[in-house]
Amino acid sequence: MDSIILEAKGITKKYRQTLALDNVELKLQKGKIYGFIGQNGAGKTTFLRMVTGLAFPTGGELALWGKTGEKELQEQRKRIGCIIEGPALYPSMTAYQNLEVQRLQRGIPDKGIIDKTLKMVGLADTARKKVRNFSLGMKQRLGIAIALLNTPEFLILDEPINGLDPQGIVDVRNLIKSLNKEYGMTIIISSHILEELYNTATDFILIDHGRIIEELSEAELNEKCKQHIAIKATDTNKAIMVLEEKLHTDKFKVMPDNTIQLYDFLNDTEKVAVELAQSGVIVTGLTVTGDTLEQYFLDKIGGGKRD
Amino acid sequence: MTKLIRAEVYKLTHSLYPWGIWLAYLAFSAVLVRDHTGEFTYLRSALYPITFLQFLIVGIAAVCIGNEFNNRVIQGYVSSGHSRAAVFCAKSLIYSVSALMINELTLLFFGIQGWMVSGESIDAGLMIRLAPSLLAMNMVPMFVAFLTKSSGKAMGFGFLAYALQVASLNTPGITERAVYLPYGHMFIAFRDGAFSHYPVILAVDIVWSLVFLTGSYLAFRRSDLK
Repeated sequence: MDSIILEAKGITKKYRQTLALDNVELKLQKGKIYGFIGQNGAGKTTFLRMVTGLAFPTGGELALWGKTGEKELQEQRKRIGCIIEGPALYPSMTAYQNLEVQRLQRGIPDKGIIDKTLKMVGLADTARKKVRNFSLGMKQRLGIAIALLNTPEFLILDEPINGLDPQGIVDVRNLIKSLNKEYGMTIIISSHILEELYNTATDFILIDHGRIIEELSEAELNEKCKQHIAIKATDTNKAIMVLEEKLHTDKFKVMPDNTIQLYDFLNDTEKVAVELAQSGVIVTGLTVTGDTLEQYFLDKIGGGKRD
Repeated sequence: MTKLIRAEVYKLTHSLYPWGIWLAYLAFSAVLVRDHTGEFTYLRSALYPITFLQFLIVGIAAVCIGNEFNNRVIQGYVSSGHSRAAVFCAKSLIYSVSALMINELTLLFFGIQGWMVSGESIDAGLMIRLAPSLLAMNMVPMFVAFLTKSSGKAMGFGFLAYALQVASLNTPGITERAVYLPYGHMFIAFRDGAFSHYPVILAVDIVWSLVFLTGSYLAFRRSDLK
């Protein structure tokens, strides 16, 4: 039970005639990074707003760390850090002052946490600059800093890479991964940049028209997307032997053109290349290929067309 | 709630807008108080502009509450695990104290001016007795801000509510009805220099404040925040 951070039981949200969330059933487990995928209006933000107490469901029940009920839920939200639809910022204050307000309202005694967090998000040099002069990317970074200030157990990031430059995207990805690894932080990220989600998340939740249409792990996704490493070698039989004996895997297929499709080691292609090379196999081609997350998602919702 | 108040006080002390609004309030008052004829004390004369300058308090509500919804600050407090009751109490307390200070500091300023220029005594009693009426007057912009949850709408609808109240002071029979309106209490204090039916006036202020305070909380308590 302790491993379940969040449980949604039949959560429904209706706005007059619009059904924004339709009987959502979901369980998030501790220590995972969830990619929350859906088109505009699919219900992602509505769901996240309910988790953070900004909106109320019209049906169903929400549990955080096993606790339900309005008062208990609100108490559990102290363990959460989030950015929903943009960060809460005071434009006329500096980045440091913004974090000081957050430190005071969260009752964090250690003032040093501010400099530490600013450094973590790469804003240490602009701590004394007024937020009104910040670029969109810098505001996003500051928003992430606010979300991280209390070292939350559960981090909710709604479109965290909006406005970030390529380096910023990589920085945020590395930050998310290190937070997950270092603190065991459970993280849910919604983003339209599915390729980036694919590179960051360990599990995926697909939502469409307010319904969860699929939940799957990275391995399951790779399997469904038929993600594989396509290996072309001068000696196919020797390559197969290396896969079986050195890499101890049988998750591969040999195609009629002698290309080997390896469904294992997708995150460690270097290891495959090194083992093959060290065994004297001349590799003429080694690429990760298959459906992308984007293609898979669009297939699931019917070609990406909305009513 | 203590944590929220500490954060709010930090913001207030690192922000220029309350001082800017107070200076504007004082400047407008100084112009309007020139209607002072010598018939009234400076302090009493300052009661006249207070009613008209309430539009600046609408501005305070729009900045202190409406804009905090726009900047997602109130949403941030809620998602940090503070109860909505605590967020409401902290915001309404800080707003009410700021607005009341602006009102009372202006009265004090003119009281001191009267003392320095004409040797008038500073009627602290009147200033204290006016406080509930001023608080009650300031509840309306706060209610509008919590209801609309946006600085623009808080400003627009706040001005509308303000205009209606000022217009009501210019209708026939206001002398009889003034006792039932906090705006009217300023009119009575200006006219008489004292409150002849203070228990009634105090009761009206308390009821008025409670009604708008409750309305503000109800508008916030179960509403979805964008």
